[in-house]
Amino acid sequence: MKIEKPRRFVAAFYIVTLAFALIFCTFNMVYDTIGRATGSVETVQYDFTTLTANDGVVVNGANDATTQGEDPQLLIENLATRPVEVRFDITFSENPGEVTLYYKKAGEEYSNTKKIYGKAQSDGTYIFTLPSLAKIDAIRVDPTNISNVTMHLNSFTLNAKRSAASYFAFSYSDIFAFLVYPALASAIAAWFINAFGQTKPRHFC
Amino acid sequence: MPAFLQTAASFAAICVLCAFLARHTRLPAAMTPLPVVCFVMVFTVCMGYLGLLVPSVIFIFALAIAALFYMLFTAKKGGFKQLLTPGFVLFCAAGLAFIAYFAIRQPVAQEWDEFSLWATAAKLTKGSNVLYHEANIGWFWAPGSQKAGLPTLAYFFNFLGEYAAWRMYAAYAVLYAAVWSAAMGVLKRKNWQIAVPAAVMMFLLPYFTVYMRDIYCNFIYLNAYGDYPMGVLMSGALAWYYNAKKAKIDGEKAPLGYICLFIAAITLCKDTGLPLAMITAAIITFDMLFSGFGEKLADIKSIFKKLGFFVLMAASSGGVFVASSKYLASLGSAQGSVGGSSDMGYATMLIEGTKALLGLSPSAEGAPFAEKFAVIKTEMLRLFFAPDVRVTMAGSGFMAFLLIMLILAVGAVLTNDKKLRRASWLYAIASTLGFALYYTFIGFTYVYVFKDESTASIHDYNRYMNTYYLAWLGGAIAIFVLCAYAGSRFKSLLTLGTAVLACGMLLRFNQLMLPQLCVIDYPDVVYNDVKTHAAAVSKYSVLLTENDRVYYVNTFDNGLGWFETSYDMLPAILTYSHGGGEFADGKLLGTTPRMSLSADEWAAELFNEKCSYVYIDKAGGDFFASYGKLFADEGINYNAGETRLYKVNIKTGCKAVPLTVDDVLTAEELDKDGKVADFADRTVRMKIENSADWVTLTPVTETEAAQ
Repeated sequence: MKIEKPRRFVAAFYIVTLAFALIFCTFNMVYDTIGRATGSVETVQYDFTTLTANDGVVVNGANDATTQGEDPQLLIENLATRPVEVRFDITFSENPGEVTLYYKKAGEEYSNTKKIYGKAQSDGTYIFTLPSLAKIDAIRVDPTNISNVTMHLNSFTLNAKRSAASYFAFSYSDIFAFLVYPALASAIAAWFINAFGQTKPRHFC
Repeated sequence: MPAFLQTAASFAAICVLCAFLARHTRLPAAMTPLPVVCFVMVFTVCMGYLGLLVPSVIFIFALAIAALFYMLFTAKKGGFKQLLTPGFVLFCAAGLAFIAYFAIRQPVAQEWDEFSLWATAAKLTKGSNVLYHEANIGWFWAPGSQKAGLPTLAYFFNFLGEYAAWRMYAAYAVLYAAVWSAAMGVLKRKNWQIAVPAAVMMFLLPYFTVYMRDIYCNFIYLNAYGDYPMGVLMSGALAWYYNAKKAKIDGEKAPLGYICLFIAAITLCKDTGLPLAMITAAIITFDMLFSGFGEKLADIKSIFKKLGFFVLMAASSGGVFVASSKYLASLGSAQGSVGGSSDMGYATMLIEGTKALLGLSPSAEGAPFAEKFAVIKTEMLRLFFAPDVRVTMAGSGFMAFLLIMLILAVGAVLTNDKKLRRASWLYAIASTLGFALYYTFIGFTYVYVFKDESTASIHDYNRYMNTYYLAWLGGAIAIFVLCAYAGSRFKSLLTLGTAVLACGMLLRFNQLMLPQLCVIDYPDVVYNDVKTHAAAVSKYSVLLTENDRVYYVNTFDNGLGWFETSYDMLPAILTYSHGGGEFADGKLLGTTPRMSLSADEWAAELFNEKCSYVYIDKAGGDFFASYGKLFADEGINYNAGETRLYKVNIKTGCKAVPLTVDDVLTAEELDKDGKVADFADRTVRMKIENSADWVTLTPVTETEAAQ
């Protein structure tokens, strides 16, 4: 088989990718809406005193803390609700380096395969969107990997209310991935079709 | 929006010229952007040397408009179809996408050498409409330290409207896109399966130099340093040459003369451009000489023709180099210097270095470096081979070498095209020899040019070497893509090979780099500090004109704040002040050897330096305790956060008297680094009796500034 109309062939990859992306976004929205309606997803506010801090964080009050050592951690071990998104508005005394979040099932260790990097917003808020289908029993936030940073926490919200549009907002990374991957996949698929596809239907009898 | 359109207009001019070239010279469309972009660079710089920078840019715009009308009036139906090749479409789309993206995101300069050189040079060129070497900056700056190519290219994209750093990054991105296009030079639409991975690889090419996981934002594509553009441009010159070779095999037109433009442009990128340009010319000549091996070797005439072309390429590089040296000499700076902090010229350095390498006894100039040479030689060898010294995504320099050789070998073995097979092998040999030469050259600069207390200091090793690795890999990718294009043995395996290579690079890129920590999706917060700083300065900039000289005070600065303010405050001039000095214990202490100043002496300096304002970035501790008596408000307004700017008022009748011999001697004693000449030049040359009575500093509040 030879690809007769490469333009349509590539376009098909883009359309399928876009369709999957939209289905995925819609699913997330519906799943969260149902979760909120049934009470399995709730909005919870935290501060330094209600989060469990490891010894890398010296808590000086509900909203102020200082890091010591390069592995400060803030943990939510007993999640009362299904986590969808974590967002916190925080001011650091210096560039915080890596702002990351880990998640795990009960009985597991935190690992690099279940790690999310915060999306920094222009107002200083960090947003972490958690995978919707993963079973998550505990969350760990590493606010920085720098020692001796003072942090002022303006807010820390688990499952903040989201607008419907926010489920469909594509980031620049998404756009980049959308530009690159379908094209690359179609090029590879075309090679296999050209190389191994048959020019005539094979007759078995 | 206007800035976007203004930048897009510059880009459109380039695209129109490309289209014209493609239609009327029958050069494959994808091979036109590199000649046009390099022409813009070389032409504007050379005209700039003659004092004709503005006319040269206007000329290019006029040329583009004329070309546009000519094409519109002579257009036939379907006449533009030849432009729809993957490379040219990518060039137009990527250039426009970069301009739009940067216009939205508005990245600004943020790294040290951008403030101390690259971005400042671009902003100065825009502000003064002459090459940045001539522009008035007022602070000590070896004007010959860098070539003008990149700041001038940035000028072309900043030509209409106001200066913005993102427009400079857009200019660099267009240069990159022109190289991508050259690497896909002969590909047609039906070769889309090769074009897609080729585009991905070329975009990822600069990231080859990322060798560890970045946890901070990586500024590739958001940085104005010359190293990356120079490396990518060199790979573009090579890619263009091999594409031209293939185009000729296929019976298309691709005059090699354009290569002279690329060679000249490489020379104009940076101080180390000359050796790289020569190596590029040598690699190309090597291929020309030996690609016909066995067929035409006996043809003396053809050999002379090829050597003649080498001379032409070398002359175009040498020509702009000499022109730049002559121009700088006319401005009164050292000729032919390699930069750095020693004054040894190119020729002496090469002679002394070669002597030392061959074990010959050095002359008087080279003798003091013998010990340093041995140490650096050992260290440079270790840095290349040691597996723990990672410099690229592939690992150590040696691993990068192996990877590049592997790419070339696979391409050569699998391709159907005999001539490309030979070109691939020849490139493997020539580029390796070129690397050895460049490596030796960099080694020499460490020995003879960088003046360091410790002999074995190899600073910025990665940055200097990156340039060559980029060019090396870029050239190999271009040849590999061509091999795939020419057709390969066994079910066009090389077509899959390009996809595999692209996926490999993408995988490695994803391992080491997060989209949100690089150009793709960087967070705006990375620019918070510099943008806050610029906003603070801009509050007062309405008051400042290009005739104003401003004295900079920052008691916590390591020098960066001073460079940054100097950049932000243009066209007003920040005086050398204390070069980012710090005030401690009531004394002025600079990062450069300075004497400690009393309030009286500082007032005299303000007078001598003809300062009209003092800008206080940060004044800590006892600054006002020591100097408060000069301030009409004793610093109250600054401390209340109401102002950072103070006007210097000098009472009439104030006279400066030359320092007495005794004063100079005291100054010499204080100068520990032995830079007496420097010191005497730049510090207080005059004094004023009881100057604190003569000079007062009055606050200019933000509200006043706003009015």
